[in-house]
Amino acid sequence: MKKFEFVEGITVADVAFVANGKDLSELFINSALALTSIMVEDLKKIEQSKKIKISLSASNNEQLLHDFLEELIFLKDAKLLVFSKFELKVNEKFEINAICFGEKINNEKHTMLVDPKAVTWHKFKLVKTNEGYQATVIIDV
Amino acid sequence: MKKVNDYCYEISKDYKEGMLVPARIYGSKEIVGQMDKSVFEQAANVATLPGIVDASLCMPDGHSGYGFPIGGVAAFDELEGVISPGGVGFDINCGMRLVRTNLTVKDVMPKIRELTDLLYKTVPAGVGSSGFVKLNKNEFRKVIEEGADWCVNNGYGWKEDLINTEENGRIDGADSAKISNRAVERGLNQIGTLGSGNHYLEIQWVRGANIMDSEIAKAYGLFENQIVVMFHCGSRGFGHQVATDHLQTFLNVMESKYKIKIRDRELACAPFHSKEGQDYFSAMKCGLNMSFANRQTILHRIRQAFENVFKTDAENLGMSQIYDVAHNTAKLEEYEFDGQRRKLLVHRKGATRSFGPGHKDIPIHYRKYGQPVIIGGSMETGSYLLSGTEASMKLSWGSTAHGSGRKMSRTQAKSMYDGKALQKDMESRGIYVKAVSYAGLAEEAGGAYKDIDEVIDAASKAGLSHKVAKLLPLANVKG
Repeated sequence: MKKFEFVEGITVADVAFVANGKDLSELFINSALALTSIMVEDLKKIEQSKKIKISLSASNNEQLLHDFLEELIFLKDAKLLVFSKFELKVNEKFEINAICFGEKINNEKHTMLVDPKAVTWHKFKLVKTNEGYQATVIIDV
Repeated sequence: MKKVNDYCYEISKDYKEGMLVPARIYGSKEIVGQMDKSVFEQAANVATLPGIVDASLCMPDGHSGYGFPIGGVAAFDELEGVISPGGVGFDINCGMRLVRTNLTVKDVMPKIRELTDLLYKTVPAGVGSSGFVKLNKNEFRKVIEEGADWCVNNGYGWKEDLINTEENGRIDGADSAKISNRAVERGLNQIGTLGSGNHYLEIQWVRGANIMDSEIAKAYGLFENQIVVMFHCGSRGFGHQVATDHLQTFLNVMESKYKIKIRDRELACAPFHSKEGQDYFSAMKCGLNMSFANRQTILHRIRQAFENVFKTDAENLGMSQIYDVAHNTAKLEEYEFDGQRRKLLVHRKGATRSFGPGHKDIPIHYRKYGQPVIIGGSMETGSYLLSGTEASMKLSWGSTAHGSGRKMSRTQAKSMYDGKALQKDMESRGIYVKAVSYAGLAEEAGGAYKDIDEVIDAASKAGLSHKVAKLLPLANVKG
């Protein structure tokens, strides 16, 4: 089971990924890593010198994942932060408590790729699989 | 799909349950044949939205998007129709600006590297870039209400730039009270930045053989072997957040409050005159103004870079703005339809306004010729300056294509092209490129896009716009 992979045939102009996790928490982490990989070439070069807490609740898991990824896009623009490590817990009440570890974007150090504009609802899917959970997400870039 | 004529195909309203009008796709047989099938499904879905007038339209560069296809145009009755963020796109007022110079290829070629390197430094591009305009949140809220006007009043541009901008660079009715703090925080540092992806700044050459209508080219300020500067960008994180915020609001009320069936969450909408509809309309206008201000500030920086390299004033260099036109908007416009004068809310998502000769919204010095239409092609193949047509007012609510449209996904392009090799190859063909990353460059390879000449030809033959000149790239700054 791959953590995540970018997939073809869903969108031409934007970026689609499929992320997996043995449970919801792992799925959310892998989705966050997929999103970060759209904007930064090498996640290993992101130092974990800054810590940001994110707490969100929603009416269902799909909305929660959507909002969590949106929060990371927001932090990229508003605080110029990108993250390479996530410690988080998603509970049955559709709540997430996360600590994101990363640093400020630094063009000398990070090779930046394409800028994510938004998490779209287009073909957005979060399903239970035999191995755990899987999400399909298209990011507008 | 029924053929209406050689450049227009129609999907009848029996195709899908709930369609209120047919869907019409403009393009040659070849171009329409190459479109991915979701374009037709999405155009048909748009035809189900309440209050849609005449038809759901798709321009010749159409490709699949979310909710609306990219290249989608749809007009809604002001009283009975809806407004949809999906009909505008996340990048509100993504658009094009074209600037002329008195310089020729001979003047610029010896300094092209110096000039491009300086432009790369002064016009920040890529993920996480910040502009030079430092504002607090209250000042930013002023910018989004006043648009390019604010910039000119603060020394970032010339008064005449405003005349040569759609809506004079400031659309009325932008209300910053409808804007979330999150949106302000996202956009605060981004005025004067290009963004990434297909956003770029290009130094272009007006080759004599590429002037297709010399009278209009002259009226727009072009001459043979001239150097012009074109750039493509939008409202950055600010506009993206406005779209995200309001899409969510619409999703919450669409079915429960307004009984509109959700076929596709990206097609969320609300009645135009509802509270939610009007709130989005005002907020979207802030997005339009942010984008006009962004492009105005970038123009200011471009002029400074040219002044620096050519050691004379931008005025002496003849750096007037030819035009600035949006391709992601929803605007109230008046049209003659079925013998009546009607006010319609025209959504253009990846479609350029293309008003024909005589229209009151065209600057007086261009009015006789039609509105300048700026179309960006890929970084390798060239771009176009067109003029709006009388026919487009009847065929497409005064709209035409907006670019060439991707045919290859970004992942596919990266596996096909090597950024470093591509940069070298382009340089050997006389195009100097400065890009934030090689991977990003590979994604934008000319081969990843449809043939711009075919798209423009189809738009012209369909009657949506008229060819004025093709502009060739000499140098490109890529986000």
